Amino acid sequence: MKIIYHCYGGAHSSVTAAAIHLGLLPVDHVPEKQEFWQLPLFDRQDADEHGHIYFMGIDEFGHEIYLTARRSRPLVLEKVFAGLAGIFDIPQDDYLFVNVMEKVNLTMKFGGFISRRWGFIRFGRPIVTMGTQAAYFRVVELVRKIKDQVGKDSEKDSVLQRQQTASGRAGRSHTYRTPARGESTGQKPAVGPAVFEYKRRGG
Amino acid sequence: MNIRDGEGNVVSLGSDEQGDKIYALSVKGERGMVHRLVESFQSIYNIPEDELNLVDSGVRDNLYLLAGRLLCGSRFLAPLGYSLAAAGIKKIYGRLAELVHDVKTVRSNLP
Repeated sequence: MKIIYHCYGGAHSSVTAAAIHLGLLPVDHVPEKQEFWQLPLFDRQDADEHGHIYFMGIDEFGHEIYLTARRSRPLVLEKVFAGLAGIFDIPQDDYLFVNVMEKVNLTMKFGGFISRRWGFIRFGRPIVTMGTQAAYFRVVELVRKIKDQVGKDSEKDSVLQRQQTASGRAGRSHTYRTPARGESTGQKPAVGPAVFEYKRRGG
Repeated sequence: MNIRDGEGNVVSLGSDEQGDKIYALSVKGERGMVHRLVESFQSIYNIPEDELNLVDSGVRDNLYLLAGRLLCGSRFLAPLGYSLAAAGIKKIYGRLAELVHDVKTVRSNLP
């Protein structure tokens, strides 16, 4: 299954949720600011990248974890994706959209606005990180619920599902980075990585 | 224009003479985002580029169409809205036909 966390700008709450899901961030305590800033997509995505679905890694159940930005149009994202899936006969239970916006607090919105919209990263990033720390356990709870929901599928089924997936175009590693401080993510090597390479404009 | 709350829905319209399936999709003001979403979808599911071709016809919207779309949401002014929208479509019909012709030509030249 593909689990796609989404929020307004795909820079803070969805990145945090995906990182928690993959074990890149702890579930038992609030991480330090630096731990957030080490996440590859935290406070990074710009408006001209919204809509792009980023691959973050594969969880312990074999589910592929993605994140995306959909501005204030969550239904558009889900409808377009579902419509395309319908065209190509992709079953509905092959993907799951998780809206993380409901866990976002005002501090996150304010800091995110300053950093992403106005570009004052030096001022906005600490504020949005503070907000993320304040909302952290709410996001952890959401991720826990999602994991409980999707983890019911047996790992055997997940492996079979992944084996049926054709290889991706690019050869990027199955996750962005190794877990901090030697923590175990419970991840297993990807089988048939369904990853893709995002090419930045002009990059 | 007849579809209420249809934003984001992918609507099947049938197949053309080459057997290609034709769909319509309407999204207000988020063109770039939809393009990137479709591109990502293709990448995630390894769908070849020539299997799915997103054609943006909305760049040719004119004031009649925009006004018509706005008024169609109103209960009393909807008939006026439809008339304006029809006038708007007539105004750009030639360019739309040209766009479709170009797309068909490209599709027919594919191996």
